[in-house]
Amino acid sequence: MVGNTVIQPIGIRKRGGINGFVKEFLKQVDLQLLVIPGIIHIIIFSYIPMYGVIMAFQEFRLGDFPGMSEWVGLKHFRYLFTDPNFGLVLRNTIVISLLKLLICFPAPIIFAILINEILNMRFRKTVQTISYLPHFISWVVAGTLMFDFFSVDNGAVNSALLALGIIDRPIHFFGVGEYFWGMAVITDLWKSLGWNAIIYIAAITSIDPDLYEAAEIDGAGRYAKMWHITFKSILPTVILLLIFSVGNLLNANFDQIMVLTNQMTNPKLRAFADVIDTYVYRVGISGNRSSYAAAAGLFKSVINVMLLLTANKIASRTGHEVL
Amino acid sequence: MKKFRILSLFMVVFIILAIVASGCGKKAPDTSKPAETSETAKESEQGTESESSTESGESGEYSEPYTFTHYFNYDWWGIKPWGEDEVSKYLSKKFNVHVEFAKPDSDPAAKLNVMISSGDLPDSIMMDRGPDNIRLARLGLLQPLEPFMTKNPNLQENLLPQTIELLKIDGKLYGIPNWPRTAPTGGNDVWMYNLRIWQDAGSPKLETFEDLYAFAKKVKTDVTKTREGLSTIPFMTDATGDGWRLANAFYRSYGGVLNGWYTVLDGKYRLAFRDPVFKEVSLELNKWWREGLIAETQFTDTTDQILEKATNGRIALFYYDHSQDDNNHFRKILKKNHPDDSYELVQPNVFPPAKGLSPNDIYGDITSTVGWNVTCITTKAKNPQRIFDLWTYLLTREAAIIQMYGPPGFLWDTLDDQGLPILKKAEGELTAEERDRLGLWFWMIPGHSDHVDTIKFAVNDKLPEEKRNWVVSMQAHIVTPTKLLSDEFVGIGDVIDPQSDLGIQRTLCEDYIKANYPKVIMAKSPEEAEKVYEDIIKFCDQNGMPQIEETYDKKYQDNVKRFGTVLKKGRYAK
Repeated sequence: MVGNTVIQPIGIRKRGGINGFVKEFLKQVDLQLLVIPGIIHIIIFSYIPMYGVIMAFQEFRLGDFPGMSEWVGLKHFRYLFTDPNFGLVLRNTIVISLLKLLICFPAPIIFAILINEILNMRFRKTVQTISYLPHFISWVVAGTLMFDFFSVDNGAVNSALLALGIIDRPIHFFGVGEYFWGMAVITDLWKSLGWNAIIYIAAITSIDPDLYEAAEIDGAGRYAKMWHITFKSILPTVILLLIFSVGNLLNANFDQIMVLTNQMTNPKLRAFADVIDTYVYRVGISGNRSSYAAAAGLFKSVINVMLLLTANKIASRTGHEVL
Repeated sequence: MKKFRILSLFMVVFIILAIVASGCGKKAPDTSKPAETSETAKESEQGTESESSTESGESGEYSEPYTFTHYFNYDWWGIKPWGEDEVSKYLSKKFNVHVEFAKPDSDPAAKLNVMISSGDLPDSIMMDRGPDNIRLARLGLLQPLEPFMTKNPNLQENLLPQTIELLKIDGKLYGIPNWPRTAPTGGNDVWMYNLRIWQDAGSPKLETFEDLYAFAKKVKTDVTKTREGLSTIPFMTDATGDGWRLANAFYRSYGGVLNGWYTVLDGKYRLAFRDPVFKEVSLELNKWWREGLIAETQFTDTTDQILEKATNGRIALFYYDHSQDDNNHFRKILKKNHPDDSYELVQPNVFPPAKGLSPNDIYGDITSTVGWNVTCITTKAKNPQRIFDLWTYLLTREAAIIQMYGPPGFLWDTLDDQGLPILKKAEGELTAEERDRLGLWFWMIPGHSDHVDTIKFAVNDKLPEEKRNWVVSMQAHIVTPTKLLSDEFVGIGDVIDPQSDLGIQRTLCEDYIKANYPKVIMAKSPEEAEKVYEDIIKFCDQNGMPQIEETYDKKYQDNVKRFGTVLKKGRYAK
C-alpha cells in the first residue's frame, strides 16, 4: 500500500493544471501503461481480499456467502484477548520476531562487508554461492536436514560436541522448549544469511573506488574504510530494508515454525513456538473458526502497519531515506 | 524507436491480459475430478432389482462404464491407482467402474473446509464420523443412503439395526461404516517385549505391571546396549504428541477405561482427571520418565523414527498397535536381520494388572458396532447408486475373502465346506511384490471387521503352525478374547456443536490438556507433576468443563439405557 508512493512524478506538479497532467501523461503513455499490470495485480490480490476482513465482525459459518453472515460486533476480539493462550502466542511472536530482527537483520550486512574484504575472487564467489544455496531449499527439506543434524541419536552436532568433550550426554535440541527460540534464529540465519547479503553486496559494488583511495591517502586503515566508506555508503539501503523488516515484524516465518515443530504436534515446543500465524491457522482454519481467525489476523495487520509507520517516521526524523 | 514503442505497447497489453486472466479466470480443471463419461449421467435410477452380494453382475445396470472420484480425508493415507492390481481389476470388472483417488497433501481439516466453501467436492469421500461429517450432511452436500438401500440390501444384511440407527444424522443415514462389527473380534493395542533384550535382562516374569516396571529398570541399568552396540530404550509407545497413548496403556493396567480424555466415574461420564486412579497413573508415568525409562524422544519422534528404533531392536518394551505397519513389518525386518531376535506379546495378560488387581478387573479394548469412519456419497455424484453398490459390496463376506486373498484363480480356486478359501500358498509366504500385485488388504475401503476377522482367523488356524501369520494368530487367540463390544460411548462428542460457545470452550480445554499433559509426565519432581495436573483441572473448571461433563453424561446415560454397558468389572461393578 505504502509502496505506491515511492516514485512521485515530481515534474507534473511543477507545471500544474489538469492540462499539464494530461499532456505529460500522453507523452509517456507507454510508461504509464507499464504500471497498470502492477496496479491490477494489487487490486485483485491485495485490495479485493480485504473485503474478507469484515468476517472478523461477523459470525461466519461454512456455506455462508462471504460477508453476508450475522453481525456480532467485537465478539471475536473479546474472545481473542481473553483467550488464555493468546498472551503466550503474542509473547512468542514478539520474542521470535525481535530476536530475528536483532540477529538475522544485521548478520547479512556484516557478512556482506566481510565478504567484500576477500581479495581472492574465486574464493569469494565460492563463499557467496555456498552461503546463498540454502535459500533455495524449502523449509520442509531444510527442517528434515535440521532434525537429522541436531538429532539426539547420532546427530552431527551432538556427535561433535560429545567427541570434543563439551557435553557428556546428547542435547535434545528440538525437544526442549527453552531452546526453540535459539533454534529458530539459528536455522533462519543458516537459510537466509547468504541470500539477504546479495542486496548489500550489490550495493557495495556500486561504491566509487575513488572514495577508498581518498580515504587511504587520508590515512584510513582497513577497519576505518570498512566503517566510514563501505558501511556508510550502503546505509540508505540498510535503512530501507530495516523499515521493511519492522513492517513485517509480526510475521514470524510460518513455514519454518510449522516444520520445526512437526506441525505443532510437538507439545514440548508449543509453549514457545506458537505464534500468531500458527495460532490463526490452527484455531481458525483447522478448527474451522474463520471469523475468529480473521480477527486475530486483522489484529496482527494493524500492529504491523503501526510499526511500519513508526519506523518510517523515525527514519525520516533522522534524515534518512524513507518510503 | 517507434518500433520499440509499438513492441512495448504490445507487451504491456499482453501482460495486462495475462494478469486479468490469472486473477479472474476459472481454476484449471482439477486432476482429481472425474474424467466423467457423459453417457453415464442418467443411469439405473429406475434400474432393475439389484442382485444380492454373492451374484456377479456385469449385466443390466452396470453395462455402462462409470468413473467417479473418491477422496480420503486423511493426509497419511497411501493411495494406489485403481485397476492395476488383481483385486481392484476384479472389482472394476464386476462393477464396471473406475475410481480416481485423491487425498490431502497436508492438514485434511483445512483442505476439507476449502473444498466445502468452494463447492469442489469429490463424488465419494471417506472421513471420520463427527463434526465435519455432520456439517456436510446439514449443508445438504451428502446423499441420504436410504433410497439406495431399497435396491441393494448389502448394508442391512451386514450391519446391526442399532448400528444403522447410530450412524444416522438428523434421522437420515449418510455414511457407509468402515470396520463395523456385530461381535468383539480383532484387537490391536498390545504390550510387546524385545526377545533378546529380555533374555539379556535374565528373562524376568512379565505378568504384572510391576514386572514391566522391574524389567524396564533392569534394561536401564544392565542392558544399556544391544548386541550390535546401539543404545537401548527401556520403554516406548507409538507416536503420541499429547501423551494420550501412554496414559491409556497405564490406565488400563490400573483397571480404568479411557474414552478420549474422559472416563466413567461413579457411574457418571466425567473428565478422567477427576479420577484419583488416573492421577496415580499420571504420577506413575512421571516416575517412569524421571527414571529415564520412557524414551527421551517419545514426544518428538515421528512414527518413522519410532519404527526405525523398533526395527533396530532397540526398544525393550513397546506398547503398540500391532496390527498396523503392514502387519508388523518392522518385526519381520528385525527377525530377518537378527534371526534370534523378535518382538513378542506380553502374556498371559495383554494388559498386565497393577497393584495386585486381578486380571479380571482389567478391561481390553471396548469397540463399538459402528467401527471407525464412514464413506459418504456427495450430491455431486452423478450416479450414487453405483458408488453405493461398490462400497457396500466390500462389507460382504464374499468381498472380505477377495480383499484378503485376492480373486479366485491366483491364491485360491475353490472354497471349502465352511466357505473358506483353500489357499495354494500360505499368506505369510507371499512376498511384498506378490501382495502388491494382487492388491491384498489394500482395498478394505470399507472393510467389515467380523467377516475379515472370522475368515482370517479360520484360514490362518488351518495352516501348519510355522506358516501362520503372527499378527493374525495373536489377534485370534490372545487379544480377541479380551475385547468388549459396546455402543455406550458412541456419539458422545457430537452432542456439542464445535462452533457453539460450549464447543469453543471444549476445544480450549482439550487443547490445554494436550499441551499440558506431557508436562505432567515430563515434570522434574512428583510435586511439579501434581501441580501441573491440578492446574489442568483448574483450567478446565474455569472454562466450562462442568457443563461439558453434564452434557456428555446425559448422552452417555441415554446410550447406556439403549445399549447397556460392559463396564461391569472391578471398579465399575455396582
